[in-house]
Amino acid sequence: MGAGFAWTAAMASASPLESKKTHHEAKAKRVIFLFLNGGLSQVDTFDPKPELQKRHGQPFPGGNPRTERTTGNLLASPFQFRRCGQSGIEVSEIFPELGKMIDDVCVVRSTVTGNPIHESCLFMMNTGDLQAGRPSMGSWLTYGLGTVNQNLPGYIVLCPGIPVVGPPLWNSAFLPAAYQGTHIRNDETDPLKLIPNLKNAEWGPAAQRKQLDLLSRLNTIHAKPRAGDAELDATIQAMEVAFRMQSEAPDVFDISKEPESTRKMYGEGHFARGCLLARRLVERGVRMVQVYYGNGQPWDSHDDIFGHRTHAQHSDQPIAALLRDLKQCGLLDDTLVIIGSEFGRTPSVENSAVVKIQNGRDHSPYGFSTLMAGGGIKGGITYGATDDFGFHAVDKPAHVHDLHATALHLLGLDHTRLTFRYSGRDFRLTDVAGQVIRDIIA
Amino acid sequence: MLAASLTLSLLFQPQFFEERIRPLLAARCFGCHGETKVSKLGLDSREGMLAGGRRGPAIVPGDAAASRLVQAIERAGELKMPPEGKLADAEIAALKQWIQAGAPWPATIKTLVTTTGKITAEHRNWWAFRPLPEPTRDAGIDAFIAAKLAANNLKPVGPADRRTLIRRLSVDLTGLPPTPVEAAAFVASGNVPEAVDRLLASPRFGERWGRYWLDIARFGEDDFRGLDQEKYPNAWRYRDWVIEALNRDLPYSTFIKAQLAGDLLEADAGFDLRPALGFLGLGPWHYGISPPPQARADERHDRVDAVTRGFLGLTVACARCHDHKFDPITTRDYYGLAGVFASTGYREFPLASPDVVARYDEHQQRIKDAEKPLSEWLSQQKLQLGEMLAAQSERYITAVLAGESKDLNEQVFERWKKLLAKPEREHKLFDSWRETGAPVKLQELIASVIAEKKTIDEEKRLALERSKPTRGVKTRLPNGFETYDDFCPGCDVAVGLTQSRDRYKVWEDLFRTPGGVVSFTDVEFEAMLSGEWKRHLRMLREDVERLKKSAPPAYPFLHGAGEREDPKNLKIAIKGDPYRLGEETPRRFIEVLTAGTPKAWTSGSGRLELAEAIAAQPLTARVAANRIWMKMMGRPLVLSPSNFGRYGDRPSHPELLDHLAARLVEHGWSVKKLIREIALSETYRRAAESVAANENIDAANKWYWRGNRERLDVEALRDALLFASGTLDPQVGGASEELTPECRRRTVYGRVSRFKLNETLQLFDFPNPTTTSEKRDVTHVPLQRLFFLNSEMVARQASALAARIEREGGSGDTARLKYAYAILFQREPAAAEQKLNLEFLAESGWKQLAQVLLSSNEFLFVD
Repeated sequence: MGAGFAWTAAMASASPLESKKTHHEAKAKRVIFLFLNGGLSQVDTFDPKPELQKRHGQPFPGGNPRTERTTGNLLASPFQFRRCGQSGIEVSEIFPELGKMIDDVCVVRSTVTGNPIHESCLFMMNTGDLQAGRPSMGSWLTYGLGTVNQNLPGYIVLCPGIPVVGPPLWNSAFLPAAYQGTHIRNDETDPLKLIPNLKNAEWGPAAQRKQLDLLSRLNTIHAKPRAGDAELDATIQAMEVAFRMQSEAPDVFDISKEPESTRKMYGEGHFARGCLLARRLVERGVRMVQVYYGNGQPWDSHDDIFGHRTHAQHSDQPIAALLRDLKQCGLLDDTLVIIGSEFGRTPSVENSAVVKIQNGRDHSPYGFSTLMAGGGIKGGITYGATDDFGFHAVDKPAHVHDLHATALHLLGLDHTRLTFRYSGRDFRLTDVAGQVIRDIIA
Repeated sequence: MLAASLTLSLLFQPQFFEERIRPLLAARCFGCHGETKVSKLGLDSREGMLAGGRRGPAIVPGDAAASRLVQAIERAGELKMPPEGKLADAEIAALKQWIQAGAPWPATIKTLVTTTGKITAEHRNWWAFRPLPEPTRDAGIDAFIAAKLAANNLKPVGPADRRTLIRRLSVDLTGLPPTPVEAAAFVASGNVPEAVDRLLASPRFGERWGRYWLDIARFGEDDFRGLDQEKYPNAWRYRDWVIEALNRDLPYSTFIKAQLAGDLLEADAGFDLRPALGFLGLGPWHYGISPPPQARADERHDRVDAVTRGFLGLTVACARCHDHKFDPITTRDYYGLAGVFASTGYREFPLASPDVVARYDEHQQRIKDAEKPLSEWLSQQKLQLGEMLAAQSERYITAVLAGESKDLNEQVFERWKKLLAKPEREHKLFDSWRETGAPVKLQELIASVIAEKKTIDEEKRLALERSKPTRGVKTRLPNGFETYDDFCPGCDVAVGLTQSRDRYKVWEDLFRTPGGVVSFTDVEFEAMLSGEWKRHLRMLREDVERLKKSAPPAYPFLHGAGEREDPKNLKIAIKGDPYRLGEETPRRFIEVLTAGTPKAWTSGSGRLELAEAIAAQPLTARVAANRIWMKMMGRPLVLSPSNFGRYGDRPSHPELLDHLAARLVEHGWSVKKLIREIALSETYRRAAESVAANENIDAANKWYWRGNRERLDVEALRDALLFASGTLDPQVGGASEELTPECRRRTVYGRVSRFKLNETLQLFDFPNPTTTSEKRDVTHVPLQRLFFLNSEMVARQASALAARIEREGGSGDTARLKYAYAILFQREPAAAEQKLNLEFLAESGWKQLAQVLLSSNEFLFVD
């Protein structure tokens, strides 16, 4: 690692996705990243602000800070907060089920990104940089760790269509294309349609087996005078794996194989299906699964914060079910679950000329909540804090680089050593920044 | 005590500095105290720290507590650094430890520029920057190679056999295998020069080598923002220009100049140079995916990066935030170049006469003019109808309660029924009439909500109108967004009041489109019209339709770049932050590549001057020669083809590289002549066979003792499939096509999307078209094999190949098998192979066999 792909044929001897050694002992072996895209308002979900409730309708002390659009006076959250679990962490009433699992969750209340634009922050959260052109976190992970199950892609992204920005969010950029995220539509229910080229349209496995036997013999004859060429061997190996994938891969995506009780626990809808698929995938050795809540940017409640209630109705149960399910099957211990968004929202009401009603919030990248659970994370705690109104992170700001550094650390990787030489320097997921947040590690 | 001394000894190891201290200083200090030296303080060298700034020395080695730097970062006194926020405790501790240990600054990588800001003779004497020697007459490529082989005790292998060589030559020069006839002719004659000249003259040459350039040029046919894909419909004209330039062997110097300043150069012998500007005009553009100052800065960054790495093999983009860490390149160099691109705008060049363009534009305007009354009339009428029906709400509610629509509008009645039955509602206001049980209350509420909304909308309109003078003109040009308001009009304009949520929801229940009780689609509305009203609508529609039908076709145009009216110098962005600006930097060339002080470019953007300066560099020739050598030999002389700086690799054969570069220039920058020289060398013709003794010394074949076996890249692979099946469409150039299984054109003509790359391209390591790419990765993953097992593309080619063999391969399976081998592998099957194939054939048939052969390593690799 570090020098990138050398010009030697020897490099090709191992599949680029073969499991690799970690830098240190890993607490987490895999990642599930649930992305509530559009901008999850912290003050309406995981960061209660009594002062905001008290001073509803009053101007923001010191004037409104600059965000994407113009905002007016303080807007109290219309939702009640309740103390949950033994930890007593306060969670909004719109996430009742997740509240029940809060003792397993660390709420980072001081996440910070760079600017208040969706695209920039989506890039930051996914690739560690505000502009396009850097590898996604999942690409870095599969580059650094490989993946356990060679019959499945190592990094899978689930979204019915595409979120804002789309495929560049799971791009491998300058890392080899093998580390690219594989996008799978979780509104598709036919398992065979989920991965391209999984089934031959004309002949079955028996005929194919015969084909492969011939191919293997011809390739062996071809390889004989070319002994020692690792690349030739690599394609031969890959063909056998591909053959097995045809029968194993569709099975993973077939959630009808889950007991009814499990499916019920996750609930209905594509996000619920995404969460359940995520568990099935990590269980089978996929390194990272990312589930986008929906197409576009559903959580972007500029006009009306009540939109959050609707979206919470569709995500609360599946998220809680996933945590519960992982816990029940013992996977939560070494599966890092991240639940978050590209940024938070302003405590003040948006009053720009483009909103229909003034009951929503603008983007705020200055201090918002990200949830982490499992995989060596200390549950039942909060980390960092925003100011009295929930606008700026004032205690222990956690930049996205710090979250990335922490995630990599849990996965056994030193974020300063996971590098790839490109364009004259060594690139990292964390750019030139990032501090592991020790306080949230169990 | 023991622990402390242990720590101290650890500190003297360079890793501690390189891993803990240097990155920290670079990230948090160099922005102001690097080359910029705010308060005259430079923290980018030990000397700088000791010399200190206005307040005196920054450090006292061995005494952290007495060091000003420590006081500043601990924020103990009046000086609190860094200004944007305190360092982490661990970072402060590390710095203190380091100073306590004497502040050792390892000399492994010297700070080159930052201590003085001066470019020295030593910097200019870097191997890659030196003038080219005279090309040698007496020694060619093989002599340079032979010298290194001998020095490394390597005995080269013999030449490849003729059939291997013709396959290699054909794939290397044209990206396609030879036909059986071509192969047979070469095997008979062995005439290499003749074969090379034939292949270089083929239009297939440009299709192959043009694509190599497109990797470097980060060619893409779209960009993305939000959920939108911004397509560049004429992008293919740039791609075709590149292919044609290669085919007509346009001098490489002109080739690169045209891509920066094709609009400012004289046309070359009837060959339009303006399409070359697609290099700048096709993006990537960032639209509004960042705040405009950031987005524009990122675009300039891309141009600096693509131009300097692509043409010069220098990573100038590293100097955006600080002076380059390894190369003598300053932020002034970076912003000197970025200023050129800040003074360059996106331009479209119509490929039609001005009156054709005018006629088209005029007609489009007329269509718009005709559409306006239609849409206005429709929306007014629909609104009026809606309000009329809203005023009858009481009747409808009463009717729904009674369960009878009577003479009311059936559709509206059904919608009311549904709305009133809706069990769950987030707002109580709508249902408040139920308390009194009087539907008229709801009707009154609706009337007041409508009236209120009208007042508010009018206020909003006035507020927007008032703010207009400060707003830019909304533009469709990719880099037209200068201010925030340009791309989100109204987002920055605060309005006084809106409706309350509850009242707005009432309005939405009635008027939401679609779904409101009294809102109608155009079709629904039209069905309600009759008589003159209906005739009027039809007339308006016909006007539009007639105009659309008679519209002249869209004229072709080029996506390019041009001079901005207001060429400007940029200010250095401190730490690359476009909101923190330092001193202004003149537009000019990179200092280390200039003899003496670079001259400021003041007339126009400076693009032409930049192009001339690049074309005059020996470095440019070295970089080009190395790329050409890489594509011919499978391994470059400099392993980092886009980085010839200190952090890049050194040439394995410096004299050879200089020779090749000198030959390139000597032959008037003819790419074809250089390729020819390489192709005719013994080195190129070596067999790709392994020798154990050599493997032990040089497994990577750094010294070129054998040929390199290579997997076909995705273009050559897909093209070879179509070629073998006999279905490849030979058309040169033209609009891009989606690379579906039906598409039979060469892969270079497939659409390249930055938004979503085609799956087949993706699968076989096509580079990311957002940034310049210096080499292709080669990966072998199971998903690639699934493509051969099950894809429709391979299935189609297998069918076509099977049919072709049966059609053309004579009679009898043995003859046909021989024909198949001639097409696919340019040889006859060996006895063992023949036996295996015929056995399989008897059981499974030609189509399945064709698929196996197309999936074989011999087809996929070139020896």
